[in-house]
Amino acid sequence: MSGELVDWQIERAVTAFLFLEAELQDDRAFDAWLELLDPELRYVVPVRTTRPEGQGPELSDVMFHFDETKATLTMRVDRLKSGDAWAEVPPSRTRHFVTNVRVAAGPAPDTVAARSNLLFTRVRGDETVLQTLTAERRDVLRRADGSWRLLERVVRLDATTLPVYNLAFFL
Amino acid sequence: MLSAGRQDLAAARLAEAAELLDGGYVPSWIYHDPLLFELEKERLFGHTWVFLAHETELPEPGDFVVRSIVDDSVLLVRGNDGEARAFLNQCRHRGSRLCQAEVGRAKNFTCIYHAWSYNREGKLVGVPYDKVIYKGIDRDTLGLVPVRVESCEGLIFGCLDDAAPPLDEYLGDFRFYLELVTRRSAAGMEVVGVPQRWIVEADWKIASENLVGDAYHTPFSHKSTFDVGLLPFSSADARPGGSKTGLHVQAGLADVAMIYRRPGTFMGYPPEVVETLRSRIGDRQRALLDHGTGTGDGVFLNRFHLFPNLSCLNVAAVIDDRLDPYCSIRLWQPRGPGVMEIYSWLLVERDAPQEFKDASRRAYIVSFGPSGMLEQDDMENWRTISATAQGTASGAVPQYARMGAENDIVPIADWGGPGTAYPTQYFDLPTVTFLKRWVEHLQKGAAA
Repeated sequence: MSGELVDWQIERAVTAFLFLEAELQDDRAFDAWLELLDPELRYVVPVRTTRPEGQGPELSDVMFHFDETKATLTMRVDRLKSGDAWAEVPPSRTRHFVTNVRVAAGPAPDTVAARSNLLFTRVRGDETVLQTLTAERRDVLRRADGSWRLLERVVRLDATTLPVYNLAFFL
Repeated sequence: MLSAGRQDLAAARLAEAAELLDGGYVPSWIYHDPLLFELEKERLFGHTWVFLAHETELPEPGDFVVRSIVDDSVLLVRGNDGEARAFLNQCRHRGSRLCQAEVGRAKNFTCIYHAWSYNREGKLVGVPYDKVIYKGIDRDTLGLVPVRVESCEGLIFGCLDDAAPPLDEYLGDFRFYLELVTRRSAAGMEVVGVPQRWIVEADWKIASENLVGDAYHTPFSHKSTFDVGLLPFSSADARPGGSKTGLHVQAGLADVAMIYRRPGTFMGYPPEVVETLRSRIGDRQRALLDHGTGTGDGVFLNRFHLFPNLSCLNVAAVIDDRLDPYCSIRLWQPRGPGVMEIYSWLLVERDAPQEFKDASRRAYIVSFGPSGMLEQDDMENWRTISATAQGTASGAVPQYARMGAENDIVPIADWGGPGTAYPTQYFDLPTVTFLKRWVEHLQKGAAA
C-alpha cells in the first residue's frame, strides 16, 4: 500500500479500532461489535480460485462466502445469541490475530483505508488441531460523531477450498 | 485393487449392511470406514456419472475448469470445435499434474516438467527435441487420457467407465423433474461466478441422505433460522402434514421433494419466470406444475438428489421483508474415509435482471454455503456422525431408519408425473432406498 503516511494519531486510532474489534469478537460481545459497524456497511469475503498467472483476479467479484450488510450481520448475531445455533453451541474459542496494519487516506472525506493481515484460529470443544484461516483485510473506516466505524471490508482469503467446515464466525 | 482377503471382508460387511437396511436400520460404521472408501472409489465412483461443471463455467473455446472424480483430477476444456471434453489431468510422459490452475483459458496445456504440450482437444502437439531424441514419436497414441463426458440441461457429467450406460439412460425419469428447475429461463441457467468449496470431516453419504429426504431435521436443526425470520415459512409448515413437507417423488436414481403451491405463488419467483417455465416444458409437466398432485394443487420443486452425490436446493430467504429465491446445486465429493469436499454452485436464470441475480445471491449466501445460517448447523451435525462412526462400540450401533414403516404410506394413485410419489416427506423410505442402491453398486462392482 503506497501513498502519504497518515497522521500518527489516526493510525493509532485505526489500529486500536481493529484490535478492539478483534477483542469483541473473541469475547463473543457481538452486540458491542455491531456498534462498530457503519449503517451503510458492505462486508464481503469473495471466493478465491487459482488462475493462470495474468488471467484476471483470483477473487471473484460476483461470488462470496459472505456478502453482508449491517442488517444481515445483525441477523447472524441474533441467531448466534438464540441458543439454537448448533454450529456454536457450546461456543468455540476463536482468536483474531491482526497484524501489518497499514493506514492511508480513504476514498472520501472522513474516511481512511486500512489494510491488515489476519490469522484466525478456532478451537471447538476438545479438538487439538487448530482450525485456521489467513487473509488480508482491506477496510474503509468512516468517522461520524467523533467515532470510527467500519464502512467497507473485503476479506481476501488465502484459501480457495476452505479448510474449515463452516464459517460460523466473522473475519 | 483390493486384495482377495479384503474383498472377502468387504463382501461380508456389505451383506451385513444390506441385512440391516432390509429391516430399516443403518449401520453406523458406514460413515467412516477406510475399506468402504476404497470400495466406493473402485466400484461406485469409477463406474457412475459424476457431476463436473455447468456449461456456463466454460463458455468459450479454451475455457477450462479442473474438477475431480474422488481422487482423480479431471481437466474439462472446451475445444476449438465448441465441444467440452474431459481428460485425466496428467501428463502422458512422466505423470505430472498438467494444469495447476483451477479455472482459466488456455491455448495449450504445457507440462512444467519436460514441456510436453497438449491442445484444447487433448492431442499431444509439442514434444521438445522429439526428432532428435525419439526418432518419430506417435503423438496420436499419447494424447491426454479422455474421460467420458455427456451433458443434460447444461449440466456436464463425467464417467470413468466407458461401458457405463449413456447419461440420458442414467437420468431416466428424473429428467422430467430436472427440467422443472432448468427451464425457467429462455436463455438457460448460469453459474454465478465460481463454486464455493470447503472441506468437511463428514462422509458424503450423510450429506446426500440429508438432501435425499430429511425433512424431519428442519424444525429442530434449523430452529434458529425460524427464530430470526430467515425462512419464508413457519416451523409449523415444516412439521408432518405441514404445507412444506407435502410430497416426495422417487424417479429413477433420483429423489425429488416438492411442496404444494397456491395459484400465483412460486417461491418468490416473478410471474415471468413461471410463464417462461410453462412455455418450455411438455404438457404433462405443465399439468403437474399447475394442478397435478391429486389434490388439485400445483407444485414447486424445492429439492432433489441424484445418486450418488449431486443435490439441488431451491428455496428462498426473507431479508429486509423481501422474499428472494435461490437455486444451488451441490456436489458431495468424497475426499477420504469420513471426509468430503463440498462444491456448491449458485444458479440463476441467465436472462433475469441483475437486481434479481444480486438479491438471489444474497439470499443464498446468508442461508447456505459455508457461512449459511442453515448450512452451518448441518456441518456441525454431519461431522459428529462421522466422528461417532469411528467408535469401536458406536460404529456397531444400528441407527433407526423406520420412520413411516408402520404408517402404511401409500403412493399417490393419480400422480401426474413419472416415478412414484408419496404424500409426505416424513418417512425413511428414501434414505433406505438410497443406501440399498449404494450397497448394490458396491456389490455389483465386485462381480464385474
